[in-house]
Amino acid sequence: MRMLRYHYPVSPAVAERRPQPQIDWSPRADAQETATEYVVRVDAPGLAESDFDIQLDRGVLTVSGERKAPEAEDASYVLRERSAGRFSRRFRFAGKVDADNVSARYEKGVLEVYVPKAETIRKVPVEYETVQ
Amino acid sequence: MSLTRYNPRGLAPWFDFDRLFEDFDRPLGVAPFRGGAEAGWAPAVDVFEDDKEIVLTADLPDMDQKDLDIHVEDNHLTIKGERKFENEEKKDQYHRIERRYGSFQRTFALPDTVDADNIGAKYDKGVLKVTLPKLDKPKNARTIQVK
Repeated sequence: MRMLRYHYPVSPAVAERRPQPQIDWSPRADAQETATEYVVRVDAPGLAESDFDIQLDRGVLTVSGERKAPEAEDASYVLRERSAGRFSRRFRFAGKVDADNVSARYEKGVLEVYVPKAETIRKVPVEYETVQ
Repeated sequence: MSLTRYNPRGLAPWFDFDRLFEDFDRPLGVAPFRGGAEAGWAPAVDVFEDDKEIVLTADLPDMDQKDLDIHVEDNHLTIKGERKFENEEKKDQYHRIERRYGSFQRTFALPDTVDADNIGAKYDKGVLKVTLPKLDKPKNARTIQVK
């Protein structure tokens, strides 16, 4: 039996898979595609660069981590809206990507992940022999 | 103009289900503070209070100083501003836009004990932290002698 690549119809270019178990919240993310790369931007304020775990495996990018809940006891909080705990987002790219050259940047609470597209066409250099 | 979600053509109807679930992580606030959200979207806020101070923490990623306005007026603290979309011209390159942009405003009623002259605000890594120290006595406290 053939395995369907997608279980449901999704935007073919960038599709999100179901969240992993045991996550507490899902940060919002934008996904952009340029001529040379995919850029995923995730809103996750109040973290450090080392708090993110970024994986690219077989065309699926996973961004996860944990944001610790604020320290005071619950009793002292009069309002709690900000999400805390483990988070994870996944993105699948339609085209081939260059997994060795993924880079990321964290600035002002936004994690930007740059996933370059792999070159699908490789020009083979041909040496011509000169015929006299 | 506030940004609307980009919906590429040819998307199956179930796609909107995802949006429903995404909105479930919206704030559910329960508080003696009267917090109001007007215009556009509203940042998630934690408010902590003890004897010495009130600390308000808001998730506000990607803000520039000039786009943030925090002020106290008439015992009300207002946090407002605008988050601009960084790539207005390239919007058609986006397969998905979930992050919220545009104007926001939240107003909180403050207790009498707040020392409005010494309010501090710090913005770091996308988190705005406003510290409101409390006075020992309410500003207009008056002891009344019983004769």
